[in-house]
Amino acid sequence: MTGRWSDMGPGERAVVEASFLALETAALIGADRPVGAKPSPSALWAHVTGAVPIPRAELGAALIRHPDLRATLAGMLARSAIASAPRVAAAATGHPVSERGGDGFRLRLLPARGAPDQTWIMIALDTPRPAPAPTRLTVLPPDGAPETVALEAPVDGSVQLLAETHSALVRAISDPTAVVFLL
Amino acid sequence: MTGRVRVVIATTEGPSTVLRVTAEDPAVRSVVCLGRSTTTLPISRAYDAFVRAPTGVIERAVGHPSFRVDVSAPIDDGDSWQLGLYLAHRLKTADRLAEDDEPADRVLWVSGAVDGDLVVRPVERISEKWRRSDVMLAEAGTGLLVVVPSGQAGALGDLPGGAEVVEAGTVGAVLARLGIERSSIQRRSGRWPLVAALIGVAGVAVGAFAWLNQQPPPIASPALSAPPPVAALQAFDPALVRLLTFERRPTGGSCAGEQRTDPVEPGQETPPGVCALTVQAVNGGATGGFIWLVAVVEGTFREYSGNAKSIDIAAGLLAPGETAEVRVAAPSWVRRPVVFRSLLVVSGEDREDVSRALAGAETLSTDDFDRLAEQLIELGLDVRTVRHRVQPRA
Repeated sequence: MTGRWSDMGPGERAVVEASFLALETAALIGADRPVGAKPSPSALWAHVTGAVPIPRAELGAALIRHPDLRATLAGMLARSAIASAPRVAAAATGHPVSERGGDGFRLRLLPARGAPDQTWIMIALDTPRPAPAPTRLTVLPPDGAPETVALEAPVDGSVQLLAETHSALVRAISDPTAVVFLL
Repeated sequence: MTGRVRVVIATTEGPSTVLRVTAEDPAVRSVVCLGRSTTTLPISRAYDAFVRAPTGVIERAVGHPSFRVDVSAPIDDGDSWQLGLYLAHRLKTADRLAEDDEPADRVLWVSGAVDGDLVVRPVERISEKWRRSDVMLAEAGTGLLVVVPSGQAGALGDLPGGAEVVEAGTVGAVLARLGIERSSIQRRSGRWPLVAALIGVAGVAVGAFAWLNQQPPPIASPALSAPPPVAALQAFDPALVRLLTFERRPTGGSCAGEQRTDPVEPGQETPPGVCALTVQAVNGGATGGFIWLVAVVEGTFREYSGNAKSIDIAAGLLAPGETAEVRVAAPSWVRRPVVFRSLLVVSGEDREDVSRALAGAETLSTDDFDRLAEQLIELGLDVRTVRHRVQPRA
């Protein structure tokens, strides 16, 4: 084993990411701003609406320190989302999924033929809902930080984006226990 | 000209090499990506429109609606990339595009816009693009072929030794210079055996519509491409295939009952009460040939026709003395005259490019249909198209 990032599998990468998250959290100890402070509801709401995003590592650390924050965050996301896809019914099996169905949209993961290590995230929006068009996709896994990506304007009711197959975003979408939000 | 060709698209920010052309899942909109990364370039939306039929020209040429193109450097805006990407697609189809690190026999430096009729349109700032490519041009050496729209070669600077310039008025002129014949579009296996089966069971099948109507499969890799399973026929005379038009009328009071078939001259004014139009292609020659026969109701009726058949297509080998027939019902709820269009394409050989072009015929507008007919004529095919107006209800 070389320890190179490119040589790691998805599981190993997740471990490394979690380690970095823990290290970053530890590094915050002693910094100027209060460490371990629970984001206020207003700060969390500002993050959810995109007005003042909380850095991913910071939010991930806060979710680890304050498990109850995840439910608050999920509630805010659900309240502000244009549409959402709940955890998959067969989530107990734990198998990755390639399709998520939500109220007002359907999301599919398609292998990119042009690059085997890339995946298309295809979002088909129902018409006439949802309206207005979503601008962000957020996936909230049962643990770890939420993954958010900006969306381009839909074309003919569909949005597509290309992502690395082993990215945290694709992994989160294929996690049947994660909840998908269009914001 | 033969051999592998690397395509370099000239931009005002410097040359951008086409690294790879890949057929994508048809559900994906076509994109231009930067250097095999997940970064899609801003021209992707325009490129998708350039690809997808009926407005796009790439799908019409190669039969697939979605591609990913990877380029080495950003192409920000404008439409001068169109000629380069069109040529890259045609070279890819001919298995002659030098991709990634493949060695190239020639390097194509190209700038030009392409319209729906495959006419090369002028572009701006050629001299600036030329200057920004000086390093690449010097390295290209004797294998350099410079392609610019007609009348714009004067904007180029000094040519490297051995370089050639093509001023293109049409895409066809460049394809000819590259040695890509219009008929050299790669054939794919898998369809003609099915057509042959249809012919075997029911003559030239009216049911071929369903076959033609299916989504074209992804373009096969060259290694998987098989030669056409049906050999080209010799001494076939397309002119001996006749196109006949018939009106079907009720023998009683309603189209729901028995009908008779009356031959008509297309364009001839006839009494109201036409239930359907039948079009036949009859091979009066001594050898077989391939035909594609389409009949369609013009106008927006198709959108409201539900399960009623407003287009019919037959295709395949037409043996000597054999007749192919298509039939389209008149929209019975329409009280004003409607126009039927029929299109017959005749060839001595199996032409998959024609099948591909007609596969999406049910979605074409009248103008698209006209344009398609013109392009088939440009391909050197025997194309006949007639219009016939009828009054459906008495």
